Amino acid sequence: MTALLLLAMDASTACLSLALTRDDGFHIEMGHRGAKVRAESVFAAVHRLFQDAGMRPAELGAVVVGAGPGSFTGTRIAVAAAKGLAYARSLPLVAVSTLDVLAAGLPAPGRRVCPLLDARREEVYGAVYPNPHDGCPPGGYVNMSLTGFLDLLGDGPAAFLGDGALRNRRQIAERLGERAWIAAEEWAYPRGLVLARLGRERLEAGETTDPLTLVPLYLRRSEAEQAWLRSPRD
Amino acid sequence: MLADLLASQAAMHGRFGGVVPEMASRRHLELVLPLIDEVLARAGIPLSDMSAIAFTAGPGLVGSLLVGATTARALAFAHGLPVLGVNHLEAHLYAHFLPGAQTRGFRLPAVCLIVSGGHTDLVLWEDHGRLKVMGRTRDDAAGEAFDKTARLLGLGYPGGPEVERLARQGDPAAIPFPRAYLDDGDDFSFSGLKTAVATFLRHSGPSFRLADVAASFQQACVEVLAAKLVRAACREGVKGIGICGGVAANTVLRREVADRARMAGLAAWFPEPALCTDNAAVVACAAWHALDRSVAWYNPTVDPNLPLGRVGDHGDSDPGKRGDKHENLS
Ligand SMILES: [Zn+2]
Repeated sequence: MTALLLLAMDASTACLSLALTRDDGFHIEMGHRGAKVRAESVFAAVHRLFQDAGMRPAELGAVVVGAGPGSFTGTRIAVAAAKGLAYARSLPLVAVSTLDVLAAGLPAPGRRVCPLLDARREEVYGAVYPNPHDGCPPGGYVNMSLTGFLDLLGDGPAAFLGDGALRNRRQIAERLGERAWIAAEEWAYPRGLVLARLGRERLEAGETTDPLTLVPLYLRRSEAEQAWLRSPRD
Repeated sequence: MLADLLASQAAMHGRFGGVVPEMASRRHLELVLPLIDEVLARAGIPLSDMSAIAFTAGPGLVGSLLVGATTARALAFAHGLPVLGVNHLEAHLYAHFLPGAQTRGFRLPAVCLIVSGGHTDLVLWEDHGRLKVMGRTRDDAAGEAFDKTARLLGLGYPGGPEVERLARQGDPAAIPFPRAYLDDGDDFSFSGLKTAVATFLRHSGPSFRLADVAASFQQACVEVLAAKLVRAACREGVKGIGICGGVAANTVLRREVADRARMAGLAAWFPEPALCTDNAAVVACAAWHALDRSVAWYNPTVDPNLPLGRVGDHGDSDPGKRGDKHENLS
């Protein structure tokens, strides 16, 4: 049996993150930050990734995509690219929330992890992971004001990461003091390798999605508020 | 043509009186792959057997363009196919090359009018890839004037078919709305006509029939379009004229153009109404002709303001940069 080659893509933040991994340990990873993510840059980057790896699209065994929340356009581009590739080659497709990727990228935090993405208009996309290596956040993914998020979080210690955490670091520190730990900028964006790892785990658990029907996790405000109200707090 | 499918969002956007960009992008992403899946099933040809994949590169709403471009590139990359960005307006023109009752014998050069909710362009179409925009609207597109008039008359969106339906019961000579000929140039202007309709409705009391307003507005609009089209063709010395774009489905415009062409001794071609409005068959047809002259490996990026003729202009493109052919990888 040949090793499974997996392509991971996330464009939901200011960083375009890609990885090509194989379960024999081979991997190649890219992270582009700064340039506006557009259709051509996603495929130019995917093309380069395959070229550097000396591999062909025909060798691909699965596609994993960061499905948001985040930039509507960026997320949509990565999701459209992943849907198209998976459909065209009849490959299994796995969608992973960008917030899961951020949280799982932080090694052994020893406390709750709160990835926060800047949602503009004084709002964040976020989630609370009691243990980020246990999978999806029990409270779901939310879109709300930073103060609302901190109110709901309570006073226990927490690790924050993401562009929403960096942008609001002063407010978070004022509110939580010593109990807040804010990860440095290199942890602020989803990494291709982490996305690939989560994707592979979910693929093995059979958690694939249909390329014809997958839609991004946009987190429309009304739905997000409802999800939060329904969810347990800690 | 083997298969041609279309999913319209007009009903969804109707209650907002126009297209909501973010909603349109979301809906496009939901619809594009199922539609591709169905069109391939109907044609009975697998994706891997395609010669190329074409998408609309612009002009248009950038979010929507990106969904199409990304999907096209993903499918092309997966099978090592060439991918080709087509100008939306050039695609409209290619309706003349698709089969239809009134397109048989269409030949270039011709003078064509692209007339839709977003555009009113008068084009000298010399040959494949050789286009010259002679005139365009200075304010509203003709289709926009129809939409705005429909709103003034309390009709639905999109306004073109609604105005045409109501106008059938009206007298086109009832109200002398202004015709903007703009000193005999090739440009158009429709904002004055829309204002005249609004002013008329505000000041004329209840003594008029809405159907007469619709018919008179429509007549003022199509007369200017047809007259300028025919006049430009005569001046350029071409033998034929054509119309395309959503408003070209309007039967009164077609009749007006046909009548004036006959008097001027010009041949007039009318694409099938379904191929006048936005559709993918014309994109494929434009791409097919570009492939045919093997000069068309446009850099497949999107440009919301892509001008007509830009994509058709290959003079400056370096062959090495033209393609985004992935065949070396597959
Ligand atoms: Zn159009």
